[in-house]
Amino acid sequence: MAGKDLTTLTIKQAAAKMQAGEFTAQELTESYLAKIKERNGELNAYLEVFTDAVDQAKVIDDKRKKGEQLGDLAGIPMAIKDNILIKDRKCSSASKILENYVASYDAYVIERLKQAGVVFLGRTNMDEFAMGGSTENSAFGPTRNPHDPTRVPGGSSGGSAAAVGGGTALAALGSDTGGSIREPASFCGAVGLKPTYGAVSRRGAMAMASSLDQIGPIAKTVEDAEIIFNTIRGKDELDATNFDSENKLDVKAKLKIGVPREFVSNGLDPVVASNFSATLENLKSAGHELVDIELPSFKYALACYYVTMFAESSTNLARFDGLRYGVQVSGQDLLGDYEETRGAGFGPEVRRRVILGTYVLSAGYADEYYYKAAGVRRLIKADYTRVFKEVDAIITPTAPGPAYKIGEKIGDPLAMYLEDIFTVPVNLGGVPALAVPSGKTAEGLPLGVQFTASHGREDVLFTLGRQIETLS
Amino acid sequence: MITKEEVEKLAKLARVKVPAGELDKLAKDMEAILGYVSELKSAPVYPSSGAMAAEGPEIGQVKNVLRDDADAHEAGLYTADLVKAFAKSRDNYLSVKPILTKNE
Repeated sequence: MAGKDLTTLTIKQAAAKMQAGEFTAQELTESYLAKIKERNGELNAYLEVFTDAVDQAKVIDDKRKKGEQLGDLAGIPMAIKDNILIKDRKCSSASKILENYVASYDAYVIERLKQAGVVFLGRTNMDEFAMGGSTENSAFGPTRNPHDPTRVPGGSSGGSAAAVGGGTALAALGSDTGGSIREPASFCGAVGLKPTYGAVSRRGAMAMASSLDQIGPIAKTVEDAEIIFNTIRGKDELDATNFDSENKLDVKAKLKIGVPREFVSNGLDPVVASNFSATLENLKSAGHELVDIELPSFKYALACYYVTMFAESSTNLARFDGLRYGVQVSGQDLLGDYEETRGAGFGPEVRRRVILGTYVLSAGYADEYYYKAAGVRRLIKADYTRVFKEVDAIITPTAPGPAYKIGEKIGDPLAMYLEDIFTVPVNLGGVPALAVPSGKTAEGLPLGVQFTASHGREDVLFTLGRQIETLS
Repeated sequence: MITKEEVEKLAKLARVKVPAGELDKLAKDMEAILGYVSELKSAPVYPSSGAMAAEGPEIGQVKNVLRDDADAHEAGLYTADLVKAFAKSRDNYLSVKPILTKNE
C-alpha cells in the first residue's frame, strides 16, 4: 500500500480499512506527510510539522496488532491550531511574543484526542491570537487558500481549514470566537462546527474573548466533524463554564427552518445570494418547511461583538508581559519591560485590539460601549430564544462572499470585520452552528451555508448538514 | 475624533509601545471602528424589569459556576514546569526589575 494516496478517505473509511488490515496508521500518516511536503511550501498551513508523527502512528499500529479495541479516531492524522496546548510542544498563537513558548500541559481536548489515539501531524497557522478573518495577521506569513493560492483561506483558523481543504490533514481542530472555524471552513470547502458555548472545555486553549471562545472541529464531512465533536465534548472540572451536554437523538425527519430574509439581504455577493436561494430550494424539495423569521436585534450584532471582544481580549492578553511566558524585551524599568515586550511581541492587529479594548473599558466610556454591548447581547440571545420556540434551525450563508484576494482587505480593518456579519451572532448567543459547503463559484471557489440551532442541539445541525452534502 | 495623543495615552494604559510611525494610521483606523460600533448608543437593551427580565438573561446554559475554595492540587506539582517558561527566575521565584528605588 505504500506510495498510494490515502488522503481522500473520511475518518470512518480510513478506520475501517486500517481495522481490516488494508493499510496501517503509519502508511496513512506517511501519505499525509507526503502531501504536506508537496503542498505546504505554497500553502503555509502548518507552522510546524511534528517529526514524531510516524512514531505516534506506530504506537497505534502496535496496539492494533495486539488486538486492542480501538475507536474510529485511532491512527487518524489531525492538525491542531497553534493556540491549543500540546504538552512539551511549541505553541505560539502565531505570535512573536510566544515564538518559542513550550506548553506545560495538554489542553482538555488534546487529552481526549490522545486517549482516542489521534496522530498529531503538526500545529497550524492562524491570525495572531486568533485576531482576524484571513490568516494574514500571522507573525509567520499568511496561509494561502488551497483552491486558489492568490486568495485568503479565511481565518482565524485558516491553517487548519487550508490543511483539511488542501488534503494535508484528515481533520483539524480550530477555535471560534466570532466565526474563526466556520468562515475558513467555508472558504476552503470544509465542514466547520462551533459547538454550544460550554459543550467543549476551553482549558488549554489560549483565551481571546472568554465568553465567546469555543474549540471545534474542521473536517472533510459532517460525519467526521460529528465524530470529533463527540470525542472532545464532555465535563471538565477545570473549565467552570463547561457542562456535560447530553446526546439528543430525537431529530424529526421534516424540520422547520427559519430564514432571516432581512438580515441576509444586505451586502451579499450575487454569487452567494444565488447559491443560497438554490440551497433553500433544495431543502424545500427535501421536505423541510422554510419560514421567514425576524431577528430585530441582529443589526447590532457586529458592533456588540466587536466591543465585547475588544474588551475581553485586552483583558486576557494582559497576561503576556514578557515575565512568565515567551519573549522578553528589556526596557528601562519593569514598566519599560512590559511596554517594550508587548510593543515588539504583538503584531499591528493585536496592538490595535488591545488598545481598543482599553478604550471601551476605560472610565467614562465603559457605560457607553462595554456595558451597552452587554445589554444588547442579552437582546440577541432573547431573539434566539424566541425564534427557537418556532423553528428547529436558522439558515444563513456562512460569509457574504467567497474567499477574497490576499492583501485586498488587510489595510482596512473595518472592511475585514464586516465579513463576520453572519457568524458573530452565534457566539454572542452561545448557540451552536455548523458551516457546510454548498457548491462552488464558476472559478471553483467554495461557497457554504451555516445552520444555527438552539443550545445543545448539535444533532439538528448534523442532520441538516448531512442532507446538504447529498443535495448540493 | 481620535487624536494621535489620545492613541499614545491609550497605548500607555495598555502597556504597549506603538512605533511613532504607526500612530496616525492607528488613530484613523480607531476612528472608523469606533464610528461603526457607536451605533450601539442608539440600540435598545435587555429590560431590567417585566416578563422578559424574569426569563433570565444568561447567555449560555451555565449558572453559578464558582469552584470550591479548596486546594486544586498538591502544592508544587506544576512549579518546575511553569518556572521553566519564566524569562528570569531565582529559587523558583519570578525575578523582575526593582519597582522601588532608594531616595538618594
